[in-house]
Amino acid sequence: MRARFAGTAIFFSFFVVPALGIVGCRPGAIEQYSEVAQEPNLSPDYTGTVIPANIAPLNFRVIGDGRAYSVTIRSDRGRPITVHSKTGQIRIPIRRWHALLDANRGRDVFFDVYVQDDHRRWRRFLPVANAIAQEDIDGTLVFRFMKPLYHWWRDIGIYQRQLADYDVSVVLHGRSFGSGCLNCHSFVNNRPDTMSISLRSATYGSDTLLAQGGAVDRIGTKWGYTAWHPSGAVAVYSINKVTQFFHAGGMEVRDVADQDSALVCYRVESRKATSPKALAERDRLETYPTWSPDGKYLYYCSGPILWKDRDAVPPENYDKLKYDLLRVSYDVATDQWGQAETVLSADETGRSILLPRISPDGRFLVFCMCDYGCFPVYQPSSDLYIMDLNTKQYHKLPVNSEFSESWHSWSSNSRWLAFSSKRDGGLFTRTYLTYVDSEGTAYKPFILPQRDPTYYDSLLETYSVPELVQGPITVRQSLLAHMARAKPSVRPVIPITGASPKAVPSDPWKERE
Amino acid sequence: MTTKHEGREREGEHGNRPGASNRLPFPLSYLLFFPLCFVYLGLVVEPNLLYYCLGTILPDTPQFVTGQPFLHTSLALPGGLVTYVSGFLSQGYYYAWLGAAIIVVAGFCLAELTRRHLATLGLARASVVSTLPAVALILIYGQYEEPMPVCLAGLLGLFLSLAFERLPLRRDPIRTIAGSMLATVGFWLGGGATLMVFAAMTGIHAIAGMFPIRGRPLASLQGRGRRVLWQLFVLPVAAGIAWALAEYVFLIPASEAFLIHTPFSSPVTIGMPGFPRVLTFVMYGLSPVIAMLAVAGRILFGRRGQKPTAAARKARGKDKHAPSRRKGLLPAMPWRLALAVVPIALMGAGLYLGRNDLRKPFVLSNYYSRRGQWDQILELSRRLPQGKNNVYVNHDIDRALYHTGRLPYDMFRYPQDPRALLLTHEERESDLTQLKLCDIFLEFGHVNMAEKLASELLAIKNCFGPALEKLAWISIVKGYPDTARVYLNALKKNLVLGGAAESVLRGLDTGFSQDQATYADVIRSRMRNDTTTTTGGEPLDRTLVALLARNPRNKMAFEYLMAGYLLTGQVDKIADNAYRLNDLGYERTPTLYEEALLIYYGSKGMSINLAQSGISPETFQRYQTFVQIRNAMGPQNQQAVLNRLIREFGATYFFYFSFRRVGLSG
Repeated sequence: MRARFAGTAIFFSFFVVPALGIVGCRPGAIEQYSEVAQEPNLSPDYTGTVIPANIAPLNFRVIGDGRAYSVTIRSDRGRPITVHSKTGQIRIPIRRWHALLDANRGRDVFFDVYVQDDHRRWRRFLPVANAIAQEDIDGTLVFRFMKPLYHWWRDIGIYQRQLADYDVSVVLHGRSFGSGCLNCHSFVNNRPDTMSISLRSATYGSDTLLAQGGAVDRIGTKWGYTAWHPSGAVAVYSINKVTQFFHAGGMEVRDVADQDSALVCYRVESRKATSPKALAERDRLETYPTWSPDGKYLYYCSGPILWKDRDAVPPENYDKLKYDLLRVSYDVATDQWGQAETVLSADETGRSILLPRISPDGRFLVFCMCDYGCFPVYQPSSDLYIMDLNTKQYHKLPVNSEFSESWHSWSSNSRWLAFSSKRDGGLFTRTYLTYVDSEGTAYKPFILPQRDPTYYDSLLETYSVPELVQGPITVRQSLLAHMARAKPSVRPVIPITGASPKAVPSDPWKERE
Repeated sequence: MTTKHEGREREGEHGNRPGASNRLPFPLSYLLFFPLCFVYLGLVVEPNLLYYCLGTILPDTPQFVTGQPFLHTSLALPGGLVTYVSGFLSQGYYYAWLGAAIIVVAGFCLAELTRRHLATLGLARASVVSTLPAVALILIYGQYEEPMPVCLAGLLGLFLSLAFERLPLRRDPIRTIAGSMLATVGFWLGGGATLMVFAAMTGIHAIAGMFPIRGRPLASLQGRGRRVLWQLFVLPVAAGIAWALAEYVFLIPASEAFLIHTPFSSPVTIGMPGFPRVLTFVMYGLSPVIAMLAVAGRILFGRRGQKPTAAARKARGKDKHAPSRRKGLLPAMPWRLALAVVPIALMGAGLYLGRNDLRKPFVLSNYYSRRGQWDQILELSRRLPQGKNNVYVNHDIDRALYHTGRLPYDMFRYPQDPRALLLTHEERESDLTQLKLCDIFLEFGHVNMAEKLASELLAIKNCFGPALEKLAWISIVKGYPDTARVYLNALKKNLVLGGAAESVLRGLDTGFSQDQATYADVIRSRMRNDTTTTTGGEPLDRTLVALLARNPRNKMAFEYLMAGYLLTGQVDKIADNAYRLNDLGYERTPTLYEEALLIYYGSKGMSINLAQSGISPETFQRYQTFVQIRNAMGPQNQQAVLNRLIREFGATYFFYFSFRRVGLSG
C-alpha cells in the first residue's frame, strides 16, 4: 500500500505536476498587452520581404530582453499559428506554415510579436508583414560549403538543401577522394538530372564528373566555370591560369587574377572539345560563359591582358583590368559560331562586368560589376545589376549591400534569384533569395532560412555558388564518390588553334595531406 | 561456445576457488603502478603542457566543441565517437591533475580489459603482463604525444570482443549475427582500429575454444570445430559490412576507413619520432599479441594446465577436492609484490631509453609563450642542454627578450639562429609555425598576414580555438564587429576558451576593459592600411620596413628588423637604420647596436666621433680589447684565445659577427 502510494506520488511529482506547470505557464491568447510603436528586432531579418509559398518556415529570434515571447503568424485565410518561447527563438511548425502560405498566395503573412517583461506584462510590437508570392521557388538549392579559404583546405563538399524544409544532404564531399576540392557545379536548365562538377585532388587527379540520367562519366580535363547549352548537347567551360595573392592592408586580404584564360566548347555526344577563335583570343581573357535560353547566343566576359609577364604574381596592372560583356551567336545543329559582339563595355560602365546569367524566360540578364578584376566574391565593391534584354537598359538592383554580392542563380520560372552576399559582416558568404517580378523589380532579399534561428551566429563556413534546381539530384551519391576516385572514362583532346591554348590550367589552392 | 557461468568460473585470480580469501577487485600491482603513474604524470609530465601542443606541435589531434551539430558531424564518419570523446577528454589536459587522472583511467581500462581477456583465455595470473599496454601509454604521454584516439579505439575493440565472449547466446548462428553487429557498431564508433582489435581478439578466442582449459569440460571435437567456424565467420561478415558502410553510407574509401585510428594511419603517427611511434604500435597491438601468446602457450604446454586426476592426487596423499597447491621456494606475498614492481621497472627502463632532453623544454617554451610568460622562457633557456638547438625555442627566446626589453642588449647571451627569428626555416609552414607567426605578425601590426595564417589553420582544423581567438581580435581591430561575433560565438563552444570569448563579446556589446582596449588600439596603430600593396612573397625585412613606414614608433618592428640585420651580419643596414632610434624613445643606443656600428665603422676604416655617433666610451674600449685579443689568435693558441674570447666577449656582437655563433660557455 505504502509502496503504491509512493509510486503514485513519484509519478505525480515527476510527470503530472511539471506537465501541468508547463501547460499552465503557456499563455493562451494574449488579451492584455501594451502596444509598442515599432517593429520588433528580428534575427535574421525577415521583415518586408517577398517569400515563396513553398519555402521552409522563417524561424527567427526576437532580439530584446524578455521573460517570455509569443508570436502569432497569420494571414487572411487559414488558422493562425502561435508559437511560444522562453528564449526568444521562434520555431514555426513546418506543415502548418506551408498550409497557411499555400492558402494565401498573393497576400501578406503577418508576424504579431509579443514580449513579456519581468513584471509579466505583455507588449505587442507592430506587425511584421511579408508578402507571399504567387510563384514557387525551385525546390532544391545546390551549393558548395567550406570555410573561407586561402591556400589550404581539408573539408569541402557540395550539398543540396530542400527549400521546403531544412533537409540537407551531401552530393559529393572531398573526403570521398582524398580531401579533394570540388567546384563549378553546373546544371542544364535548372534540372537535376544533368550535372557537372569539377574536381581537384593530388591523389586522384583534376578532372570533371558529368552526371547524366543516373550515370556518371569522368572527363579527363578540369572544367572551370561551365555553362550548359539549353539542349544539353554542348557545354562551354573556362580554363583558367589562376593566381592568388594577398593585400597588405584593407578589408579583404585575398585577391585573385587570371594570368590567362580561355573558353572551350565540349560536345557531349561526340566527346570532343573545341576552342573557337572568338572564345580564345591570344591577347584577351575569356571567362564566365552563359547561354541565352534559346541557345542561340553565348554570353561571356572578356578582358584585355595588361601584362607582359604571364607568370608574375600578381600580374602587372591587375587592378586596372576590367572585363567587357560580349556575346557570340551559335548554331547547335551545325556547330557554327558567329562573330563576337559587345553587349556592354567596361569603358561605358567604368567597372569590370562579370558573371552574366540570363533568366530562363530570356527577358533579363543579371550580372556583377566591381571595381576591377575577375573574382567578384573577393571584391567588396561587387554589386548585382539587371539588364532588360529587350531594351538593353540596366540598373543596379536594390538588393545590394556595402559588401560583395555575387554568384547569382535564377529559378526555372525566372521569378527568384539566389545569390551570395557578404552583407553580414563582410567575410562570410551567405545565400540570399530575392523575388524578381515580371518587370525586373527585385524585392528585399531574405537569408536562406534554417531550423535553428541562431545558426548563422556561429557559422564559420560559407555558402558558395548557390544554384537553384527543380528537384533533388537524382544520381546516387555513392556513384559520384566512386567516380571521383576512378580513372577518366573520357579523354577529350583540345585541338590547338592559332589563338589557343595559351592558358595552362592551374590553381594556387592545395589540399593538406 | 561459452556461457556467462563458465566465463565467470574461468575469470582471473579472484575466481570462486574454494578456500580463497577476500580479494581486491583488481590486482595488487595496479595499486602500486597506477597511483605512481598519476604522480609521475601530474608532477613530471604536466599534461597542461600537452594541452598547448594540441593542433600545433601535435597537428592532427581531435578538436572538440559543444553542441549537437559537432556531435552529429562527428558521428557521421567511422571512428567518429572515438574522435569526439578523445577531443573531449583532451580538454581535461588543461588542468594538469585532471589530465593525469584521465590518462591513468585510460591506462587502467587498457590493463583491466587485457587482464580479463587473458583470464578468459585461461591465463589467470596475468596482472603484470596486462599492464604492459598501459606502460606504453604512459610512456607515450611522457614523450608529449597524444595517443588517446588509438587507445580509446583499442579499448572499444577489447570491450566489444569481451562482451561478445560473454554473450549468453547458445545458438551459433545467433551468436554470429550478434558478433557481426557488435563489430559493425565498433567500426562505426571506433573506426578500423576498433574493428581490427575486435577481429583479432575474436579470432584468438575462437581458436582458444578448440583447446582445453583448466576446469572446463570439453565438448566434442566436432562441436568445437563447428563453434569455431561460426565464430570465425564473424570476421569476414563484419569486414564486408564495414566495407559496404564505408563505400555506400559514409562515402569514403574503405581502405581509408579500415585504417582510421590505427597506428598505420598517417595522421596518427605523422611527425612522431621513432620511439613513441614504436610505443604506439605496442600500446595498440600488445593486448592481442599477449592473448595470442597465451593461447599458443596453452596449445603447446596444455598438459600442464590440466587438472590432476583423482588418482594422481590420491597418490600424493591429498583430498581430491582440495586444490593443488603450487610448491614455491618463495612465500606468495613477497613474490606478488616483486611482480607488482615489474611494470614500474619497465616504465623506468622506457623512460631511460626514450629520454629526449630537448622535448620537454620545447613543449615548456611553447606553453610559456602561448601564455605570455616571458620571464619563464628566459629562465628556461638557462637550463637548456648545451649544444642542442630548437628553432621554435630560439624564436620564443627572442620574443621573450623583446617583451622584457632586452632584445637589443642581451640577444647574444642566448642561443641564436637566424631562421628562428621569424621562423623562415621551412619551405611549407607547419601548423606550429603558422600559429606562432600569426601571433607575432599581429603584434607587429602585420594584420592581414596574421589573418591569412589564422584562416589557414581554421580551414584545416575545423574549430581550432587559438585561431578563432586571433581572428576575432583581427576583425575587431579592422572594424568588423559582426564578423568578430561569428568567431566569438563559435569560440564560446570551446570548453577552455569559452569564457574568454564571452568576455570579448561583452566588450563588443558594452565596451572593452582597459587591457582589451589597449591591446586593440596598439595593433590598430601599427596596422598597415594600404590596399594596393600586396604581401606574402617579399623578404621579411621589407615587411618590417613597411610597418615602420606606417608607424615609425613601431618599436617591435624596429627591434626585429635590427635583430635580423645583426643575425645576418648586415652591419651597414644597422647603420642605415640607426636614425630611427630618435623616434623610439631609447635613452641611449642599445649595446648591441653600438657594437655593430663599431664593426661597421671599422670595416669602412672610418674614424669614430663617439659623441656624435652615440657610442659609449666603455663599448669602444671593449671593442678595442676584443680586436686586440682577436688579432692575437694564431694556429698555436687558437683554442686558448677562443676560450678567452668566449669568457670575456661571448655575449657580444663582436663575438657573434666574428665567429657566426653565440659564445655560450660549456
